[in-house]
This record gives sequence, structure tokens and C-alpha cells, in this order.
Amino acid sequence: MSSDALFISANIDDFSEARVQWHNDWKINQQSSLQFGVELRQIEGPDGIAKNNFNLGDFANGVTPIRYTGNCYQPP
Amino acid sequence: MVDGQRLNDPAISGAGETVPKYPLINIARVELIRGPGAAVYGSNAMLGVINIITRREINKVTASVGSLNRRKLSILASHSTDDVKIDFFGHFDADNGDHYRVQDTFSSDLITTDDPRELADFSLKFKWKQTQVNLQHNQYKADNFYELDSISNDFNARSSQLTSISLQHNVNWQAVSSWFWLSYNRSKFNTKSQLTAPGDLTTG
Repeated sequence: MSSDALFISANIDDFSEARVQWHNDWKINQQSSLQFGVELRQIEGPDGIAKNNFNLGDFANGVTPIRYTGNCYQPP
Repeated sequence: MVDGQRLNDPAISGAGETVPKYPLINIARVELIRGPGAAVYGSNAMLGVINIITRREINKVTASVGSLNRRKLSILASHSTDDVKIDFFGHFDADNGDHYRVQDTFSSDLITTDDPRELADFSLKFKWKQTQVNLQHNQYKADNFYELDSISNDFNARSSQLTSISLQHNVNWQAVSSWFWLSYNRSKFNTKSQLTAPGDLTTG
């Protein structure tokens, strides 16, 4: 039996973005200007990982007793 | 943005998670640009842009201590020649946090919590004529207090890091100013929290 509280530890690691950008500001005359540009972004979004000390699948499906998975919530 | 370099997390286009605080001592001015500006500032600049312009050409060291065990150290160092300008900024800020008497998330009891935190920032700017390279790193760590809407002293924690490097080159041709940018940033975010009271999910 465990009467532990439900803990969560969530990590999103190594999110990265590479970007190439070219932008321009054209002052046409005293009253007019034009801004234009182009941008390319490469985004790497890894999976976010959340760890709990109880089986939340059991909790979501109404399965009892909810299995206790132990101390899986080590400090990040 | 800091000096035109994005701080935001690409997943949500907000900077609040990865860089929740930026040291005032390194800010020369803050530019607020209202309205869409994606042509100049890139994608997601739909409603406006906040650009923090950092200080340059300053040599200064400050250190301070205070209540709540606050320790703060800032270094601004600069070197310039006719064509080259180099600016370094280092900052460390930590305290034990203030104490708060608040209602427990999991009961009607009043409990005491605090919000100790650590913040570190580094940046290096190298400018040669119309070309500039910026390197910056920010990291933040906080314990206790509210995390995911609940209080759990000694368990709640959050930490984040952002590292970025950018290369900019400016070309002026008649009435047109052009900027070329190459940038790369990498970030991480961690959070820990207690979601229920002990015994709420009693198992066998």
C-alpha cells in the first residue's frame, strides 16, 4: 500500500531553433517606406517527458487499485 | 528579443518559461513596437515586438548582499578599437526567497512557503564594422512556492536554460537597409510539482 501524494516531474530538453533571416527597410521617400523580408526556421522539438509515481493510465481508466510505480520523480 | 535575438521558446512563442527574468543592470532601453512586424522581425511578430537593447561600452563591476541572503554580482566589460567592439556581461543573482503565509493547496490549513531562486546570465558581443556576433546564455532555478497551481515545500522546483548564438550583417544600399541573420538557440525546461494530497490515490 502507498499513501504517497501524486508527484509529477516534467522535462522538455534540448529544444532548438536554427534561423536564417533577411529583412529590408526601403525608405522610398519622405512619406513612404517598405519593409520586406524572408525567414527560414528549423525547429527541433523533442518529446516532453512527464514522470509520475502512480500509474495514471489506471487512474484515467478507473482501474483500482491504482498501481504505485515508486520513486520515479528524481530531481531534474 | 534581446538585441534582436529571440528569447522565445519556439513551441509556444513566449519567453516567460525559458527566461523569466532579465537583469535590469544590462538594459540600456526597451523598444516596444506595436502591430505586425513579421517582415522585419520574423515569424510570430503578429501583435508587436519587445526588444531589449543591452548596454555597450561600459566597464563596471557591482556586488551586493542583502536580506534574505541575497547575493548579486554583475560584470560589464568592454574593449574597442577603431573597427572592433567587444562587450561582455556576466550576472549572478540568488536569494533564499521571501516567506509567505498562505493557504495549503491540499487542505484549509495555513502553511509557510518561500521562493528561493538563482539566476545567471552571460553574454558576449563581438562587432566588426557592420558584422556582429552575439553569444548569450541564461539560466534560472526556483524552488518551493506555487508550481502547477500547488504548493509543496521541498519538492516543487523549476529550472530553465537558454543558450543562443547569432550572426548579423548589415548592408546599406542607397535607400535600402538590409540585415542578414543567422541564429541558433537551444533551451530546456524542467518542472516538478505535487498534484494531490497524500492518500488521495491510495493503492494496493
